Amino acid sequence: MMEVFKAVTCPVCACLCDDLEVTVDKGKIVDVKNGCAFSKSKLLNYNGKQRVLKPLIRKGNDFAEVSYDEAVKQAAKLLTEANYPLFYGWSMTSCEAIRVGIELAEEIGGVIDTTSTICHGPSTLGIQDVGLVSSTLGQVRHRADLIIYWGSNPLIAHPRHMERYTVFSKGRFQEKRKLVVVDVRETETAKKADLFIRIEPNKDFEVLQALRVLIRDDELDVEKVAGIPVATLEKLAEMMVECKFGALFFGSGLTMTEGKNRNVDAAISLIRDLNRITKFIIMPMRGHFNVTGADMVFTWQTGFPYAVDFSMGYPRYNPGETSAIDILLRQESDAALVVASDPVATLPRKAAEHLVKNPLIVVDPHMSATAKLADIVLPSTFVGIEAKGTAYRMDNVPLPLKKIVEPPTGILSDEDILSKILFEVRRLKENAS
Amino acid sequence: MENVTVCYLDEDSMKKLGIEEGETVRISTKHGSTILKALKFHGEQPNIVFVPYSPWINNIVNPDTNGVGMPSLKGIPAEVEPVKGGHVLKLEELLRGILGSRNDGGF
Ligand code: SF4
Repeated sequence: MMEVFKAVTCPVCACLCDDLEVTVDKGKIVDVKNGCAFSKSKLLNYNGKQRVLKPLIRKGNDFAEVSYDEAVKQAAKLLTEANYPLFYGWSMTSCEAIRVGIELAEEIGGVIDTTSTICHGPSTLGIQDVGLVSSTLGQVRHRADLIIYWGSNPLIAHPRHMERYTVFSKGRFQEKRKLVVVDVRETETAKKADLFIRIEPNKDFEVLQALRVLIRDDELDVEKVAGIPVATLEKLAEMMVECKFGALFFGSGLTMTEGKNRNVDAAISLIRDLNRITKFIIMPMRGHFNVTGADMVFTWQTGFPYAVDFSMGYPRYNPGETSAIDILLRQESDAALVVASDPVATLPRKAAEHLVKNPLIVVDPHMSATAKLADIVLPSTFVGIEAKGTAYRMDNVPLPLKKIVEPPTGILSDEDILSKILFEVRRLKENAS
Repeated sequence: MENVTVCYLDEDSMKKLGIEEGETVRISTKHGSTILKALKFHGEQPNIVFVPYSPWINNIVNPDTNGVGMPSLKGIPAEVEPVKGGHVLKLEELLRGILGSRNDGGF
């Protein structure tokens, strides 16, 4: 019998659209309404060829199928024997699983870091420096009359962001808005803009500081900043000052280029200055569906949002030292547990090379590039499809992830797998003492 | 994997560099080089090559985190040249390369 699940939260990007209608027939998802192409592609195809259906342990060039008990035992042994293990990933699982992961890292005395470290980590540093003027996406939808996307291409990366929350949405108090895009290339989003400003790569900081001068009505005694005529920047400054409620969304165009956290610092400072004149908010365009939740759980459990080092027996946080890429580049880790992430596909090559030199344990539903190079693979369920949980939207609003279908027989959730490893680690430690 | 083994250049850059649409190109930075298929970007993007993030380019990004934990994954100075009939690595070949860095040369 067909069953339709309403108000399903999409487990793909940090927009966490919670209006999907998913039709299930004989335990299989057969239709997805309201979702974008990413959402449909995941929900209709998640159970494909790359699915891992048995725990695996490496034997030479091949994997041997083993029981969860055996794989958990081996994983716990590798982790307890290590001096400085790295626990990495976390942005595509539930807050509940992340909570157990942190407990495990603390129990073992390793370093735990999230994919924020190669995405919006610099945003967090900028926010810690100067604070953040923000709001929920609902407020933006209902009130904003000026939307700016800076170094971000939502039509491609967050396909429903504009439709649900900004220029293509109809708010209760605001139906029409102006769109400004600032980017180094004329992206699909830029083509829809009322004003597109193309800046030279690595020059965001200069442009943001120039805008801070212009909104104060001061003059710049240059003709161009980062290749942009000052008259164009004056136009943007005027739009910013004259709007009633502005919202600036920034992407990795700010965090991954020269300046990094200083760019974010400058962007937030600009918004802070604007709030002396009008209402303006700023928000990072977070990527994976629960990367914001990872920040949240890390912060309430350890006091720090990512890159937390438990090796001294208490949490320490010093990005640049305790962050995953630095640890891997310095070749310091001697074991790694990767959960809900594919670092071999996403980290700089030198970091990935050290990662695979470590005894490597991967918890993932799929045979990802990282899983292919692992020593132990623990297959898990897809949270938001086969397991329930909680995730945080990019505006820090928590939303429930639903269980819509049963997982393949015997497959456990990330939370259950991590709890089993934690239990085994404690048992090993007790025996040793 | 077709959609991540490509890079995008605008029409002017393609003309200047003598690159045909669909041809393979070598992208080199001071960190390494990679071969990808060039596609035309329909918009303004002068002197920029845009590459989707993937294992095919993780050897050409700048791993240096400047002491803040974040490598530079965008805005990296690069050279692009046409390589007729260049070999775009298969995922398995790439992974074997990464694995080769293990002390035992693999499993
Ligand atoms: S925009 Fe993001 S959260 Fe919304 S449906 Fe698409 S992938 Fe899912």
